[in-house]
Amino acid sequence: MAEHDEDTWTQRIRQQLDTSARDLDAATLSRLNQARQAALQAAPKPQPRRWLWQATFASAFSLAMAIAIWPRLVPEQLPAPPTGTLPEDFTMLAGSENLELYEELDFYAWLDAQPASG
Amino acid sequence: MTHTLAMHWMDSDRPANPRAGTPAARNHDALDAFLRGIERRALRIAEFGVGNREDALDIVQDCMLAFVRNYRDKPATDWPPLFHRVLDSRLLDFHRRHQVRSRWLGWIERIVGRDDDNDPLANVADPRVPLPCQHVADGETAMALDVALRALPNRQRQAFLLRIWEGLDVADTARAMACSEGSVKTHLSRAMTALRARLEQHHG
Repeated sequence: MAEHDEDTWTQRIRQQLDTSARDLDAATLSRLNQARQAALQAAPKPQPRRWLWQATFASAFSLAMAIAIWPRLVPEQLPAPPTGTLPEDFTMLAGSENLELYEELDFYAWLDAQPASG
Repeated sequence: MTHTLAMHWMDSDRPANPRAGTPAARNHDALDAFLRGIERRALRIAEFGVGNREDALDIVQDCMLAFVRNYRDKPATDWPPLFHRVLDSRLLDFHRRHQVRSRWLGWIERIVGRDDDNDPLANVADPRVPLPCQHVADGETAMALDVALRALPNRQRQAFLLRIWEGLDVADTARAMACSEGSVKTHLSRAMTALRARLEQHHG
């Protein structure tokens, strides 16, 4: 068979095959459509990118470290000093006579407990 | 690559997609268009291979699922040979299972004997399979082509359909059939010779 004849022959066969595929009945086309939709829906959802996982992990790690370290960096809050007494207390503590008073505190406590006489 | 017929899906009309623009949506739309463009020919190829539409539909559905699952992220230009690779392997599986089933059924029949040995209906020709003389009489060349293609050995038929109908080149056909390019040429040559001899009176 000459080359031209062969081309014509294969072209004719191709046309017949195209026609047979084009003229499929409605029920068959519906089944094909359902099969295609099922295949597309069964495809796994796209996975998050790796860098997204890495960024998420880094953020979570940073947050955990901040929570663990924060109490060590911030000193515990001390109770507020009694207002209005600090200058007097300081004067008292700084005076030498007052230091002597504190040294003889037991004596003054005994004296205070004695009943008043005469 | 020359996917003249297989690449029709590139230009097909598609409905608007609300997620249009995202890579996932583009991939989904491209896959949908590709499968829409190839599914009818795939069904006919499967039908030539297994001899009935019901099994062919099951095979094409299975093929679509496997293709989307495994190759959806491959470049679109590789989709035609990859799709036919999946389809070819599914057809091969079908024939293997069919052979095993036939072997066991034959063995069981030899042991228990056939019930329809004396059944006169068993010798009546199937009216759905046209005789050669009917081809000539009604001039149904399409039917003659169907019968001639089904009569070909599987590998010859696959080589012919992928090269001549799907328009795959020799390399992609070899890839789809998992064989060498030399084997593709041999199968195709034998298929052409057999088809010419069978269809000579229809195609001249």
